[in-house]
Amino acid sequence: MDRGEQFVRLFLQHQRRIYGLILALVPNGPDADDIHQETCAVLWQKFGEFEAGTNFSAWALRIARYQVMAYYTTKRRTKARLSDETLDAVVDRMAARPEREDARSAALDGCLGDLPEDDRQLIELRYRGGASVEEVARHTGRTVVAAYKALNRAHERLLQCMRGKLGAANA
Amino acid sequence: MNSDELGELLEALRDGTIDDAQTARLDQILAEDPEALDHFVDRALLQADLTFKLGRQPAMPAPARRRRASWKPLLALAAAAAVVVAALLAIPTKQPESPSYEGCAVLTRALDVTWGDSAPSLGSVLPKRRLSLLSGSIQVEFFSGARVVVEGPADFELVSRNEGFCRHGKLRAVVPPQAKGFTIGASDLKLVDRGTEFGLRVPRGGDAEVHVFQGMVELHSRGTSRDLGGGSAVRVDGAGTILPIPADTEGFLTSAELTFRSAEEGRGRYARWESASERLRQDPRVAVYYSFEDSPSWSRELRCNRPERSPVDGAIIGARWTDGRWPGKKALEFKTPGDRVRFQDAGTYESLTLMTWVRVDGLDRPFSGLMLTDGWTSGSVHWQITQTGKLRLGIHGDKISNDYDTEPMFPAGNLGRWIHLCTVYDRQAREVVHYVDGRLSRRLPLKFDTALQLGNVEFGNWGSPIDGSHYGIRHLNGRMDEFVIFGQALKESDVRELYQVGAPAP
Repeated sequence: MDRGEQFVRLFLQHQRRIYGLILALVPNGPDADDIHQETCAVLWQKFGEFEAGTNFSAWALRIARYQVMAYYTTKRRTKARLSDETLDAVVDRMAARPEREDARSAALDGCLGDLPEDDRQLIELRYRGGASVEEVARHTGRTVVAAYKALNRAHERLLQCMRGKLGAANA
Repeated sequence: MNSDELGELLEALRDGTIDDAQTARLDQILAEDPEALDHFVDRALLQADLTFKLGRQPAMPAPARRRRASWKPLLALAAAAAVVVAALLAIPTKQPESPSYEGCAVLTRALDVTWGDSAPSLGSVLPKRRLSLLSGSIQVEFFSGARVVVEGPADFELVSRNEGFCRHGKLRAVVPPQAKGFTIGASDLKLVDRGTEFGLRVPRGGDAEVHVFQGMVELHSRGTSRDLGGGSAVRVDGAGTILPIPADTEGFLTSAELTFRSAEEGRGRYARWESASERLRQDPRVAVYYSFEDSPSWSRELRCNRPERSPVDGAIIGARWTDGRWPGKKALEFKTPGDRVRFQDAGTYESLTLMTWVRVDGLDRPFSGLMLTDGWTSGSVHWQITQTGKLRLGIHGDKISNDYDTEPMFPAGNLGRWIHLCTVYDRQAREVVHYVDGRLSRRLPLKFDTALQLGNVEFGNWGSPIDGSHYGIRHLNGRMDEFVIFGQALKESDVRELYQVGAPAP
């Protein structure tokens, strides 16, 4: 396998958690996409420094974290942001998770199927429809506060089901 | 920390509406509480999974657009990605969710059968198991292509997709070349087929007889083997002695005879159902009735059979006319995402019984619709099957909704066969009761009670989800040949009777 293939294989295996980290730190949208693309480019540039057999996930997440920090700087955002210590803690915790993308994907399919209709519609609106919480509120005739609560409940229900299916605390 | 607060902060972050105070609060929670940190990571990973599964995936780098020096490796990446993605797709990856079953044959005919133990359904996939017939005849089609007609009383075991074992009884096997090697064992012998048609008679406690009608069969007994050609017949006794006997071609029921007799039996059942259907048209309990019988097969209207109650013929969209439970019985086939029948009902119901005969061919979608009212608001009724095979009644009340599910009831063996589904919403007894093939499947207490209004309704699909939003399709993959809505809660005995009078086979 040449290096390009090696890289793409590893990248595809880990892209969900890389994207997961970015989405945990940056609003969903063009900025998150840019960071994701930039991260992908940097990972490839630096792939020579990656030691085969070591934890790709930890390495890639660390690079993604720097891209997020770079984004914070270039945007010169006045808004408050998570502290470096917190970012490190999130990255470490995420990298320590076992890699079970296939199992996760299968579990998620099952859990989505078992989700009560109301919850499922919220999830569909939010992810398939790309609706903001406000839009979810409007579409479902809820107040924004109630929409937050309902979305939260739907996510928690999914998470609980995923934990059950994956059989560990590491959903 | 409570998970509500953390979850809400994460949702606000996703939308970019999180403010400085909230960000500081999030930072504080994550720094101070390791459990919250874990939870945050869980939610972030779930969010990424959901985005990948349902939403727009993040774009890969587009090298040509970039001005940076890094474009060369990126081009390589894009090229490598194209190759490797293709290669990865070609690898037969693990598919943990792919359903599997231990099937080896399909039960394709059953005539006047009294089963000795649990009765398999006509049309169902049979796993490795013993079939005990006290009387009657069946046809079993092995996955290998061998076809066996078994006449009761018999005890026949499905050993694999190309092997059976006959403890006692009478059978006739037709074995095409592609099933060569098809084997039938009995206590004193083993027959290995070399592409033929033969009969085997194993009386209880008596000597077995083998009759070869065509082709060649290897007979193995007590360590010896010999070939039997077409037109020959032998008797094998307990000591392994093989004696030639006259061949008896008439004594074994053929597949064609069984089919002919089953069709006759089916016509009898069809006629019996027809008179029951006539009674149903007059039944005061019935609010909406579609027998699927009165429309000519070119028609795009599904005639309603209670014009005084449900004055609207259903509009057939996409679905095609086909055969139902019996040859000649009309049914509609729902196959593609647009297929549906749309009708209207003006009633308001305290209690309701939904009943249908369907043949579910596959559970392709997160939900397969049986009958769904438009939208999902107060009074809505959604009757559907989840992808995991649970029959579900969803009821929407005033700002509250609940789903009433059965356990999964569509193992592979239940796909592709006619099945009777009935769900009772009983406001008096405060319960929802599901029945499958006339038998109680699940009884669930009502979470809240509300009167039900149907309005615009669809069979086999979901008419209009909430406007402007995106929902997955919910079409049924299968056939439907009768649908009744009773304006009241039916009793268990009523449901059983309705099942029995409409069952395609005993």
